[in-house]
Amino acid sequence: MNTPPANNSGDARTLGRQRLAERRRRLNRIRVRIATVAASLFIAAFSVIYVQGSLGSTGATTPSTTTTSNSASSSATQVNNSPTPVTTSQS
Amino acid sequence: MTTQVEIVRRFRCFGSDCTVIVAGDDSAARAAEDAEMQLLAWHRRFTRFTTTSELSQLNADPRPAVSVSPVMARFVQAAVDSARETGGLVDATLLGALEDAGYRRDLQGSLPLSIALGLAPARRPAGPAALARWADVSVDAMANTVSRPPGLRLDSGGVAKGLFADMISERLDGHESYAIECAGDLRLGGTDGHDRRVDVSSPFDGSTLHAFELARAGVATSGIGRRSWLDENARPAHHLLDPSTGRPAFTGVVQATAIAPTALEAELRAKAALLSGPGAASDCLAYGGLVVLDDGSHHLVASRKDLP
Repeated sequence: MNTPPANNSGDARTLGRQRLAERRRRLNRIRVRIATVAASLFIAAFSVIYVQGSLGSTGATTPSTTTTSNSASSSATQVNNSPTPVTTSQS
Repeated sequence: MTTQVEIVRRFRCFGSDCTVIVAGDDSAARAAEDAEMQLLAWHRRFTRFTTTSELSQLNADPRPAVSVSPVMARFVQAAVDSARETGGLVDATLLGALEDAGYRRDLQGSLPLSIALGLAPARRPAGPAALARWADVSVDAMANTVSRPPGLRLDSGGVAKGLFADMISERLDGHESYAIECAGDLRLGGTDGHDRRVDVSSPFDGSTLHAFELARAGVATSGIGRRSWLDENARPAHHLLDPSTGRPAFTGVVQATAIAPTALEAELRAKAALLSGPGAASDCLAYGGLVVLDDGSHHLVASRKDLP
C-alpha cells in the first residue's frame, strides 16, 4: 500500500471539511423546508376551522334530524305528531 | 294533534345518501322496501363507473341507433328535454369534459368550499355550448330506441336522480304520505296533504339555512360544495360544468335550491339557477327557492307560480 503524500492528506482534510459544510447546508435547507411546509399546513387547517367557526356552526352544534343509524341500509318505524322532516342538500 | 306512523329507510345509492319515507298502513313497509330495491337497481343500470351498466354500454355502442330499456329511453328523453327547457344550460352530453376536468371515478371526499372559492377564477355566468350536441340526440319512445352520433356519451347526473324520485312517487301515490330523497332531489306527496318540513343545508358547514313546509312538491338542491377536487394544474374543480367552456362553473352562486311540481323540474331549475349566476338565479326559481352566494350569504326567492 502506498502512503499518500503530505499535500494530498491536506487536500483530503479540506475536501472533508467542504463535504461536512455542504452536508450542514443541505440539512439546514431541509429543516427550513420542513418548517415552511408545517407552518403552511397549520395555517391552512386553522383557516378552514376559523372560517367554519365564524359562520356560526361546527359539527357539534349542527342541528340533526337523523333518527336512524347510518349503516349501509337502515329501516325504522317512527311515530310522530307530524311527518318526519327531510333535508335537501347538494348530493 | 294526530300521530302518524312512518317507515323510514335510509341507504347508500347514486354515490350518496337516499331516503324513502312512507306513512300509512301495513303496506307502507313493503312499499318502502320495494322503492329502495328499485332505486338500487336503477343505480346499477345508470352508473357510469362500471362498464357493465346499461348507460356505459349505450355510451360505448358504435351504432347510431341503439335499443334500450324503457327506463333508459325515458331518461334520455328527459335529458334532451332538460337541455331544451334550460336553453342548453343543463347538458347531459358533457361527460368527456367532466372526465377531462378530473371526475373519472366515484368521488367521496371534497375540497373545502372556502379554499376552492379562494383559488377559483373570476366569476361569470355559465352559457350553453356552441355545438349543442344534445340536439343530436333523439328517442323513439314506442320502439325504445335512442339515436345519437356514435361517440356522444351521456351522463346520468342529477337529471336521473330527479326522474327516479318522480318515478318512485308514481308508485307511492296511493299512500297517505311519502317522501323520496334521491341524493338531494326530493319528491313529496300523499293523499293526506299534510305539510312536511324540508330543511335546506348550508354548503359551507351543513347547518340548516331555512325550512320549507310542503305537502306535494319536488325540491332539489344543486351546488359546488361537494364532489370537488384540485385538478392536475392545482385548479379547483367540481362536477357542475359551464357548457360554454367545458370547465367547472364559478358563477358567484355556490348552491341553489328549487321548488317545483316534480323533482325533475326542481333539479333543472336548481341547476340552471346556479349556472346563471347571482343576477339571473331568481328568474329560474319560479316556484320559489333559496340561493347561497360565494360570501356565505343566502336569500329566499318568493314563489311567482302556485304549485298544482
